[in-house]
Amino acid sequence: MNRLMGSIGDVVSQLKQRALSSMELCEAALQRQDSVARLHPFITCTSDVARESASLSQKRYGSGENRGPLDGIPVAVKDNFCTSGIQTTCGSVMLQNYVPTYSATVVKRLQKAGAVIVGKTNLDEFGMGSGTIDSTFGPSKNIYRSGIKYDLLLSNREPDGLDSRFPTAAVEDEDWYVAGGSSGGSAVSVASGSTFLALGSDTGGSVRNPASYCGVVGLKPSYGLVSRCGLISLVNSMDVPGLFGRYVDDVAAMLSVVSGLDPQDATTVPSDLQSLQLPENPSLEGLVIGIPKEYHCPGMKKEVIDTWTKVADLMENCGAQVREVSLPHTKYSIICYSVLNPCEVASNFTRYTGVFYGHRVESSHSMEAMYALTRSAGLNDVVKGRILAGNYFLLKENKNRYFKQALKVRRLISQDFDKVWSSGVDLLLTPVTLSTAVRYSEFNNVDNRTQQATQDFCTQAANMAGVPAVNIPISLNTEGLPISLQLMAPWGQDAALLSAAKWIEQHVNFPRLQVLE
Amino acid sequence: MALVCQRQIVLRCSWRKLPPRISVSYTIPQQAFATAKKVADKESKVPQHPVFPSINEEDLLPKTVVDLKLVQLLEKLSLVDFANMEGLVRLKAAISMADKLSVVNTEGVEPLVTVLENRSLTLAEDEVRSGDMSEELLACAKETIEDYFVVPPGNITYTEQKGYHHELENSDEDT
Repeated sequence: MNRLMGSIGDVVSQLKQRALSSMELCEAALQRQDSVARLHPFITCTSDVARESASLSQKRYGSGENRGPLDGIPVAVKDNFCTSGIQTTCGSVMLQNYVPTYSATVVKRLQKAGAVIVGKTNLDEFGMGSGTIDSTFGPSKNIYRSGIKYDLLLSNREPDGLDSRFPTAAVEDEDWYVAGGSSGGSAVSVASGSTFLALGSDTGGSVRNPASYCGVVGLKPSYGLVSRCGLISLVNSMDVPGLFGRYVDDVAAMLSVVSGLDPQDATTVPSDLQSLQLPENPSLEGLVIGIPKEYHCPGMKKEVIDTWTKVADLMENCGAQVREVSLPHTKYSIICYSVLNPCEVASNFTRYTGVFYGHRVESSHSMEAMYALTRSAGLNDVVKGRILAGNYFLLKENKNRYFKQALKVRRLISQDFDKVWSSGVDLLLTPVTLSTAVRYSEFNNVDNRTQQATQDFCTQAANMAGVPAVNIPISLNTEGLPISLQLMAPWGQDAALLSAAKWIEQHVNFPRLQVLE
Repeated sequence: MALVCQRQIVLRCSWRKLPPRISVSYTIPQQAFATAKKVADKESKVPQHPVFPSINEEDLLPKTVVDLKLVQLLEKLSLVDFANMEGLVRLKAAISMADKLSVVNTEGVEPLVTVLENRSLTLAEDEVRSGDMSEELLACAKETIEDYFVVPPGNITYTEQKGYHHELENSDEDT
């Protein structure tokens, strides 16, 4: 199914020229979804809605009008974004039967742009996790070495040559590689070609982590540029809708569609990203790239360091100035997050009572009993644990020592970034995860909390400071798994960030995965 | 040819100067990276050894005692029915990690509540945009009567099973 391989620019040209129709594209995507169903990227397949959108898109192309770069493009939406009339579960029992009466702003914008929503993707319950194994509906699996047959192609745009250096066969003992989390389903939907783009959410790395493991581009925009209205809250001061795609240009196109002030989200600010167009051939001329030394943390695999080194050197040889910098409070970022996250969660999750929506366990004698039993049954241990911890940190006698202290440390972390930007650095280049995708057998041995504390080391600080960050797949390791790197930029510099990301994409030529059917 | 072209590409890195089909895409990425390093012939800016994030355990404040009374209070505030052995283990681990924040000197530092603190944020106009949705909204709930959401009596404190309180009392003696 070559039609699912290309960039959306290529596909829209074909749609305009009528070499391909929106309905054909939609059917191809739905069929691909079927072929990779055992990876379980989707909780809900929205085939009816998809076919309806595709049909309308086809009519538009037929009459010569089209709504822009996303018209007719199959996309996926993480299941913590409200979609009117379509169940939105957050991967939990609590919202298993919840059908929203409204759609998230970003979903409405995608629909207005003509995008074809083919399904709601799997996630760690309520976005808490870094593996997408903690979902009520079962785990999502990484497509790499999963047993799904695929080729790896060398060239960026056309299937010019097979890359046969890397193993693609399934791993032994029925083991599999985690997709990363919490937006694992979205990452797999893009990596498998079931969609061209996907919406995710990033609070501590939940878009960049699975993007890294699944070898796709994953963008966390600047906080405030993309509306959170309809994104079921985890940590209001850090949540950002995130974007997945196989090409930086595609992600840029999606950003231009979903970004912008939303009167229904008071934490959005105006931006000019709606007219975002990346340069055809971005240049590194005059750019200063910072390498924060603290990001080489203990436990980071050598192959990740090597890749980081090689790309930094490559950028330096090609005109950028590369220098080592320091973000001294990096080591506190994860700890700070481990306080602020539960505090906001404890507050946000008071809404889950079973009274107005969601799961409900009957207890006729007392409201409190009903609440406790409902919440106990509807929320998994990870969620419950965070609520308890959050309430602990918010107790009157603890508030200063934990919550206020964490807020102050957050400012120190944010100031670290400010100082680096003021010193003349334009972008930061860092690893994303400490290793390539982990095997499920290994991943599952460590509890969720510890796992996140380790895996989120490099991604977390960007959420603290609200700065934009993007995951770029660079190469494959000897096991055939993606190694990726991360770029970060000052708040609001998403365009510059994506330009540099595009430069890297053009120069590393990551082998492209093509599913064989 | 491959090696020579790589060096040219790495040094010049201008897409316009490159003949169309000869690009980095025809070379194995690892080789391009390797060549890049050799050509540069200076030390990489990427630290080759980990920077250890050490937090001096001795500087930490004394550990909080998580006792039964605290657990009952937290359960009352949380209403998640999780104040059992497992919940306690998680709570203690979370507190243990959070305690490390106390070593950071935050004298004179203001709390950062939102990264948008220096920006002017727009408030929505105080106008009604939607309504007449009582049926749809009531349909979301499991228990409704007429136009009402139904809840059991609210003035009764939730008491947990006696069983695990007893368990907690015993285990606290051990820890």
